[in-house]
Amino acid sequence: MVTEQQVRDSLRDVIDPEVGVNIVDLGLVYDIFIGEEAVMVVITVTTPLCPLGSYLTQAVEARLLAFPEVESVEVHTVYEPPWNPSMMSDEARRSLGWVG
Amino acid sequence: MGRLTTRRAAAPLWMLIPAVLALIVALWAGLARLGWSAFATAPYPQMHGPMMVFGFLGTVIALERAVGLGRRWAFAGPVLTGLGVILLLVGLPPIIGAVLIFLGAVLVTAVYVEGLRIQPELHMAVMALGAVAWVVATAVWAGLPTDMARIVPWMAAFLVLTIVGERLELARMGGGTTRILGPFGWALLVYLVGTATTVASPAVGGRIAGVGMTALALWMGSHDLARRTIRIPGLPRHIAVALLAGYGWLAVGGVLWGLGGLTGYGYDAALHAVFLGFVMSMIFAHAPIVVPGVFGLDLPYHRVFYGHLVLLHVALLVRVVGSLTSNGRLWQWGGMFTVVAVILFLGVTAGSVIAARHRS
Repeated sequence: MVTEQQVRDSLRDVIDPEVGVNIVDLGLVYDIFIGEEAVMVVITVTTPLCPLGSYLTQAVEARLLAFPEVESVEVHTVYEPPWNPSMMSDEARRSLGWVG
Repeated sequence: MGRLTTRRAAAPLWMLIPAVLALIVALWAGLARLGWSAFATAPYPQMHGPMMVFGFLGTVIALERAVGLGRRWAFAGPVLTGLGVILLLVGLPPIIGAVLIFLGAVLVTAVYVEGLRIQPELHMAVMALGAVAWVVATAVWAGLPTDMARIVPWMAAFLVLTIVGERLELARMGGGTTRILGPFGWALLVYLVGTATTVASPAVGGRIAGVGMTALALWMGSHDLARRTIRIPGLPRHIAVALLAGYGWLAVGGVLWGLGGLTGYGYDAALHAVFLGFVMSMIFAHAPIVVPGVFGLDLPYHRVFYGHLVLLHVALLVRVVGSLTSNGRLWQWGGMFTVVAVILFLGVTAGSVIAARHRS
């Protein structure tokens, strides 16, 4: 079965189209659970009315189903804890122009 | 941790049909109002603004919010606005369609109330105020369908506040902080006071709202994440260019509102700087996000998208110059090409979706 790190690395291919940064570095991936043949990913969106939620869900599913050993993928979107900019990686901050 | 879990789904494409119908009727009516005799037979010339703002933009925004929240009841919003459009077009007494669109706006406001419960933050409150402005706009429209001077400020507030709220939310990713007591809060306050004052006096309220709108445009133009994402090639840059150009038009619109107060000189230019230059530019920019996000359809970015974007802004410039210099031909041709830009946008978007489906 895939490892959590493999899943996390593959999710770096899922890009927020507005800002061009992947969802892992934006801090949108909260949890990854690996089962026998299934993977569950818990993600958030920066605001609960964001229409990107559906798009990101599908993109995550499609990316993880590309692993031959993954039979099913479940993506849950949660709002707790609320996303905040401190969840972004240093790399994401740099690419979005944070100073310091 | 007590996490609230939501399973998200895309909206069915048929929900977009009334919005597209409203857009076509609005464009046709727009050409008739510009004096193009070939389009003088437009069936609903007086519906140009309401069809564009309530029918097209209102339904699209209601769909976006319903998909965003991911609850079934939230889809009553776009269903009501869409049904309202259809009933207006089939010739029933206009009050029936107007009331349905009003109820749709109320539903969208309820979606924001739920959004505020989940995330009680400034950007959500600003978007909620936009929905309240939409409710007021449709209420005034249902009661006084021909008094556009009293309806237009609320239509604009619906769209300006919705977009500003969305952008405020994203600004957090750029490390910016937005304090309600800072310059943003003052700009917002002046804009809201001006809009509210139009109830008593469209002339005075329009001028105050214009000052607030200009201040909001300047604040957004200098704080929006687009200033950073313009360096990221592809879709982020495309969106950023469209947004920054849109803030330019919002500032122009604000100045014209401030000078003319939505009465007499510059009225056409003042309105279309905001509705076409700011709002339509934002729609063009975000289609490659909204189409996949709301309808689950692939719309891969292509640099050809700059075609309709550039045409929109150049044609609008021609129209505004024509309007301000009382040059009827410039005004007419500029207006015609803004319509061409919107039709091109529809065609390129639909063509790109179909091409992507064939490839997959």
